Amino acid sequence: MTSTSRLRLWPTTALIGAIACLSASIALSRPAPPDGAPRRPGAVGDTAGQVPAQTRQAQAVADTAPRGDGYGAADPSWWAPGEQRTMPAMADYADPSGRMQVLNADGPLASKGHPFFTPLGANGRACVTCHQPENGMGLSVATIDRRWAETQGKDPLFAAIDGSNCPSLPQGERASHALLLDRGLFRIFLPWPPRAADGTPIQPEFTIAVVSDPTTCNTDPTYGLHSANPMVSVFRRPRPLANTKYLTQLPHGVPPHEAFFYNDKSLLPKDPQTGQFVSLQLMADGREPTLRTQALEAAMTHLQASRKPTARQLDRIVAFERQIYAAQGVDGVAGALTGNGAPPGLGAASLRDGAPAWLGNNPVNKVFGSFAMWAKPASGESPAQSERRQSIVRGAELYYSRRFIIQDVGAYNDKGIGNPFKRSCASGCHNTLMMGMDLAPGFMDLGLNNLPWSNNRPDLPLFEITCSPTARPQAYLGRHIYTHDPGRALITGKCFDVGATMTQQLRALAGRAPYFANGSARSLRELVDFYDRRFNIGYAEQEKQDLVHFLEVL
Amino acid sequence: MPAVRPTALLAMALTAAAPPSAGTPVSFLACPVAQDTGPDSDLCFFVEHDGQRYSLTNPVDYASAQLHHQVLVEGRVNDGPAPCGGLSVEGRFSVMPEIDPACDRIVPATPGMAYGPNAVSAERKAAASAMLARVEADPALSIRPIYKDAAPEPAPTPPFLPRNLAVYYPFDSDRGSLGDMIALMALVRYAQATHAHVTIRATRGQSRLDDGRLLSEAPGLARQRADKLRHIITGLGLDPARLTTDFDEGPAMAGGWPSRRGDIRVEPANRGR
Repeated sequence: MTSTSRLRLWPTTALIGAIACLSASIALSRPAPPDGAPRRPGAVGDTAGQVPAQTRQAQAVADTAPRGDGYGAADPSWWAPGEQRTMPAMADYADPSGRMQVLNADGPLASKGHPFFTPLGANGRACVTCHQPENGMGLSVATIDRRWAETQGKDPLFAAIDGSNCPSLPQGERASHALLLDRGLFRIFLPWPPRAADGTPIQPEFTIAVVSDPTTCNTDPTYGLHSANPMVSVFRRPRPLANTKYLTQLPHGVPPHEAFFYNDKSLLPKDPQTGQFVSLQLMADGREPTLRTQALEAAMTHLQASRKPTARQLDRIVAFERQIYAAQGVDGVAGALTGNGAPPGLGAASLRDGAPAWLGNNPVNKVFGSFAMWAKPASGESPAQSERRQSIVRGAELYYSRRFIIQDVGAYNDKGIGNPFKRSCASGCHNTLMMGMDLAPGFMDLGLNNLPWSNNRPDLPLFEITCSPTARPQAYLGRHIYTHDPGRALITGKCFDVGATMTQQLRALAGRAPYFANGSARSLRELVDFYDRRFNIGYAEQEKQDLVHFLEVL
Repeated sequence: MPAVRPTALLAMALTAAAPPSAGTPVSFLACPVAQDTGPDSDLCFFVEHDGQRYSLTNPVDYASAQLHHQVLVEGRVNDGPAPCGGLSVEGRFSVMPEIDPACDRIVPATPGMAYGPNAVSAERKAAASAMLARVEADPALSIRPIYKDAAPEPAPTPPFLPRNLAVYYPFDSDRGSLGDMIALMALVRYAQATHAHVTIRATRGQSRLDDGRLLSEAPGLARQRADKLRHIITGLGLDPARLTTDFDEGPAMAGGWPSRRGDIRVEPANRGR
């Protein structure tokens, strides 16, 4: 373990700093709750507890880099903020495996004046900047690199606030944007200590120290842990804003988890507008409960808006996000993935028509449906096409049925299923019909963030977490943990949450590499290799290829 | 020293002591052992204690054993079947929160050996085959949910009698079981429908082990359990004005697993007649 500038921020110190910061009057601050009231993350009104502190940092960063206009016209695949275009009811985009479909269920949509496509803040970005149709409403590193080359780094995508490793670095230099350019990672800055729904500090169960930080942002005097507005900076991929009905629907058929977290049987948070429980599947750390609150946080942080979007703007953003679907439509070798004789679960229309939030781990409902029709060559297929389709069938069978021992996954094996636990991909963590994330909402430490399982990532900050002796420990790492990203624990302040993140959907994968919340897998092959290593599965080379071919058509 | 195979050691150990008779109370800490049951079935767990092998199968959900953690076994030996090759215990298992690296043993499956209810039965396999045949005939079925949401519970009818629920906890934890939380949701619906007053009383427990040691839960846990139950019950919709919360940090003297509990009582406003 290399130990460089080791800064430890004790909760009490941070609390004092945070309280001092709170004295600064800002538009989003709210009165503290009554003494003794429980402090839990979540949102009040449109705004989650961490947003006021985040907004202060976002407002403090001047976007000084020169910005260009009209770059969108030079690149028809790129949706530039403020462009006036029409998004068709069904569009498809080339990706490395074939073509991806993006479906607007409500029909063609004009971007003119639509808040999803309009810059809402100082840096010229819009929601669409990081949720590009050509990438299944996510953003691939290939697209990012192309924009860098096309605009010489002047696209608002590379804004200092989070499109660089740290706003204090010289903007416009490639090295300052290395995590975005190499791994597709944006800086997520979260207040320390964490904030409850009402904006008041949560007393965390652990201290956090910076072991090393090549980004410099966690040790930065203005933006770091010891700044006047203490922040932890972690680096994460944007999740695709498509197929959201599957992400926002509470789970069916798994009582009591339409109201409870699986792992500790505490209540799920609620939608601050409706008072209904929410599934918390939208974000890696679950810090925003709804599409609406997520849009507001994104506007205040990623877009550096100086004031909250209007209710009308938020309504329109959410309405758009609720009706858009993305999936692979054509595989370059296997051919069309939709139409007569195709597997019923493929293509964007199947997602539009599907029933959200059901388990896909029984013999009838396998997560992405049947692929049996491709098991044997059909008339009219080329040999290569038949071979690929059979490989996809084998990959599906591996995903559905190949059991392996799942062990020491924090916040997962300890949630009542046993450690170890033997399941397949589909009957374990990736079980939601049509989507492939974990249906019963819960966070887990797969090993992507925490040592010793994480891939070697010298490009990321490394934190040392020391939990209070009285805190419930992380189930398999205890009270002393090294992590690249404390994950959910940065929201709850809980030791057992360190490194845990929410599983994510497995649709439209081919066009949005790299994968995992921290971009650890540059390709689907690297993703399969990670699981093979992490769980000692022992996939044969052919099996790995079959799994990749299967994932590519989702 | 000649090599001795673990199975031989186990056999020697198991012949060293006569099995306890049905009804014998047990209370001990031990490392769980994971027993693989074959490529198409899950694992089961057992513990070895005083020369006996005890099964840890079919526990309350939170008690599913975990390697790297000791398990507290409390209850009475019963004379039912012996899943996972061990005596079954009627009672509770608790996964201890602290890590114990010594608890790290997985036993490979022995071909041809049956390990009990965790193995996939022939009936289940046959039912699965029948369902698969339906999907083969109509692949679109594969993405249509075969299960349905449960029908809404009918409104309660008079007489509205008091109802009680005891939520039992694992050692040093405020995590209720899946079954208890389902029951709690139903209880809150009943309380709302009958305009009832709800009382919570939570305790922290203490267990005397067979070797004489006394295990006491952490101070403050009774209050923590009461607060969590209160948050759940009000979060499920009960008016906080209709709720009274109490706790007893005692701890209950060596009461074993029944002393780790939260009692919820629902007193309807009237009997509805």
